[in-house]
Amino acid sequence: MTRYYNILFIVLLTVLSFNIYPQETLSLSEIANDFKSFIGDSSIEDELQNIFKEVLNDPQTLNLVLKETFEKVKQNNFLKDLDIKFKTFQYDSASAIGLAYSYQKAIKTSYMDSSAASASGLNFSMHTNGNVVFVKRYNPNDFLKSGISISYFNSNGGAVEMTNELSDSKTKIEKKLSEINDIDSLNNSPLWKNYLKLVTQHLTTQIFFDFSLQANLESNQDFSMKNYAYGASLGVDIKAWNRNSTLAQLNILDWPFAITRWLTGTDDNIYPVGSSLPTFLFNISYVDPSSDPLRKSLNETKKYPRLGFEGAFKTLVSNSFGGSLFVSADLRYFKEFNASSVIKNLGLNDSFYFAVELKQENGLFVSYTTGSLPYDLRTDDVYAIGFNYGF
Amino acid sequence: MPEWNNNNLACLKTWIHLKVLNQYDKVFKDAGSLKMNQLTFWNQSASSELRSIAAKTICIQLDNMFRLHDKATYESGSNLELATENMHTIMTNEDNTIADLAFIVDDNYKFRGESDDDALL
Repeated sequence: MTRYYNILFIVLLTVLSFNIYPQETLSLSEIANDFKSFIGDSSIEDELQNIFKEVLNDPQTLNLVLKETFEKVKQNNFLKDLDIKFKTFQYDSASAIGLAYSYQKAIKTSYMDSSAASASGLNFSMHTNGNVVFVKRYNPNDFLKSGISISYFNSNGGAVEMTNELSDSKTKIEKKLSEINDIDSLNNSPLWKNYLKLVTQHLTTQIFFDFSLQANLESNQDFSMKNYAYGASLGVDIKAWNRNSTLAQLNILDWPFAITRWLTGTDDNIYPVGSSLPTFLFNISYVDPSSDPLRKSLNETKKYPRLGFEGAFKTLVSNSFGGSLFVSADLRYFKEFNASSVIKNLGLNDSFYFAVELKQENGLFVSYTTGSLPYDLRTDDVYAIGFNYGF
Repeated sequence: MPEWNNNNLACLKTWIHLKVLNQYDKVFKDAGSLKMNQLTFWNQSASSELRSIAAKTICIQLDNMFRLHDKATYESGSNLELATENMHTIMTNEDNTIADLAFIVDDNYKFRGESDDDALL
């Protein structure tokens, strides 16, 4: 993998050099010589090399080059859903650079019902996603996944129809609201409060679910361990858009943050919001571990059914600390059915992963992660505080 | 590329609906440059499958609000499948902005009172 990294590094160095000096292609030695005539320091070339290397190891620089290079390629209809990004991965006290990729393409979507505020249909799609770190031991928290799926989705509720006259009046108010340039002035204006009251009366609870059948290939990043997984998943997302609804009031996860929003003056009262009700994903997979070396060494290569669960939540904590401050959490649990005593004794029959993050709009964040995902035998805690920008 | 402008009904409606849906708390002029990963639905810790479901919920709700609140119709050549799929594609890429989403909305919906040059009121 180091060899690939070196090749990639040279390619990026070449591309970046053209971007920096598009008119005349100067080498670092030539640039250094120009500086030497002013400064007279023979180590300037080494320093430039170090700075250049440092800049190239910054994910932001790499993403800039990647964006420039692939912008035109991505105009292609088939590739427009491809997302590739350089990231810094942190594990224990070490960090390493790597790539995150994701691609999801809906090949065919057909709606069977689209009346008023309800919609349902079928969707056939392909997807792939994962993280590849150039030093693979720093990639403990993710596994690569590729597959195809067919799904049935249904959405009910969310909005109530307005009359044409009301709709026209609403548009005029929206135009006036859009001309207010200070968020406190906007949120405290009687016009906004009356507008919100009007729109809220025409919002209801939306219940969305998506049931899909999938075939996936899961692996670690060098494919030394891989599984073919077939399964079904059910995603459930319920949003009580009307903040006066009972369901919004019952969103107990949001209550502590409704209080922080009120205490910090973000809200003028304690309003738990139904828009932050958690989203859930249930999954049943039939996993083939025949390519997993660990299970091979244990002579445990029989296919097994595995249950997966994920719940995720995110809400606003406050708007009063120089921008929006959000808290988010994600919990995942995987359990193998009918695992043998060998697998159970080694703790391979289940895995648990939990991540929570407090993140400010400007990028400052505190995060805590514990547990691991399937195929990762290490259970370690990662605590990070720092500044996260556009990884 | 169109501009983030409150005379464009697609920009105006996209801004106000996402604010009402608690996806951000921003005035119009500051909302256009917000990225998808700065919205409430985008949970960085969650799997992409779960984020996709959260995005789809909002796409369908935006479609509900455009059609039922704003009395918008689909542009010629567009329909519910295309409009929601195009919005979903924008919303599942964290680098896309609210302005990017509004331009896709503009391509797929014709709002009441919208003239050919998008001038409003």
